[in-house]
Amino acid sequence: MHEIINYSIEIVLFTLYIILTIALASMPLWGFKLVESRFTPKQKALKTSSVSDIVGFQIIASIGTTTAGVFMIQILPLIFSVINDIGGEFSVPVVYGDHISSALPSEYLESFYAITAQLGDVMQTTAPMAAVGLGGYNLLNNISRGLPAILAKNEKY
Amino acid sequence: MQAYCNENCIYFSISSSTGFASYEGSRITRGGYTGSPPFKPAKIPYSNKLKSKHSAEHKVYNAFLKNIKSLKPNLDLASLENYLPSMGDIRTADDFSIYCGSTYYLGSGLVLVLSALPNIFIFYNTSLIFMPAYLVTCLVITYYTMKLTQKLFFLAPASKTDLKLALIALKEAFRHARNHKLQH
Repeated sequence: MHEIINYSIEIVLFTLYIILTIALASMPLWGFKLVESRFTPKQKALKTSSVSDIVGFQIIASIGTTTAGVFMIQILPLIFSVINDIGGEFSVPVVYGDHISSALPSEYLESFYAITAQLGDVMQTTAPMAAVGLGGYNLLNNISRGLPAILAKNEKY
Repeated sequence: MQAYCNENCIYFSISSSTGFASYEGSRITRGGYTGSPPFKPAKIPYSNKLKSKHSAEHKVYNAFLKNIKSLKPNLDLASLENYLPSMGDIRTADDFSIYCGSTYYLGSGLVLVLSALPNIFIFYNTSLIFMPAYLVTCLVITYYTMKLTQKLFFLAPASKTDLKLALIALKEAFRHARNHKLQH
């Protein structure tokens, strides 16, 4: 009985771990949606249609790169680091190796755990460069001219 | 909804319509047309005249957004027009806008560069407590930097006449957008 309870708890924890990982890794998507909703008016009647599509694209691209830069680029290494810790604490191979090796595709899960750790390392190296590049572009390109400059530039087309 | 101003005129755009208002001598010229405001980058530093109009534009924008904030989404123009701000609403409204083109890109650039620092210097960048706290701090710093930048370089206390102009421009935008819709 005791073993069955332990086994059930481990299964539940492991499922939660997978769900948490997916939720955190998809953070750029829902983070972007949150930011986009802040910048998009709720009232469709007020939406300005005179702005050309390319301008709209640029604005959304800027929101997107900022969201991605802050949420994804900076937080992903952290997420993967946390996954590393949780993976270690849960002793993932032990959880599914000792108890449920026949029930779960353990090799895939082991690979998943290893890939997240590797991705964390890669992201940690490239993230700051990408963020500084994107941020620097926004700063240098538009620091003193602002949105009217972009709108004016694109109205010509 | 978009807003824009130059030294002489304030514009508001709704749907495909733009409303404008300007002073010619002591007379107000007002109207609306189909199309965008005549976007043109302003000379830096902004003149006081432009800063005052810019502040008035923001105040009207913010006062109107505040009035419609709690309304259910997707109302028609006629319903939204009932929530146009009064001069009292406008005077008490804040003149800082996070949507303002003058500092929008400055803000997005700043938050990106600031948020990357712990990863550049490998400083507590895998700490679950430090990183979220640091990122929130970055957003707060960026918000106040944008606010300060707008206040110092792009805004000045709006004159009563400019507040009036901005409100007229918004009303004109509504009037033209409604008429335009009726015609089509």
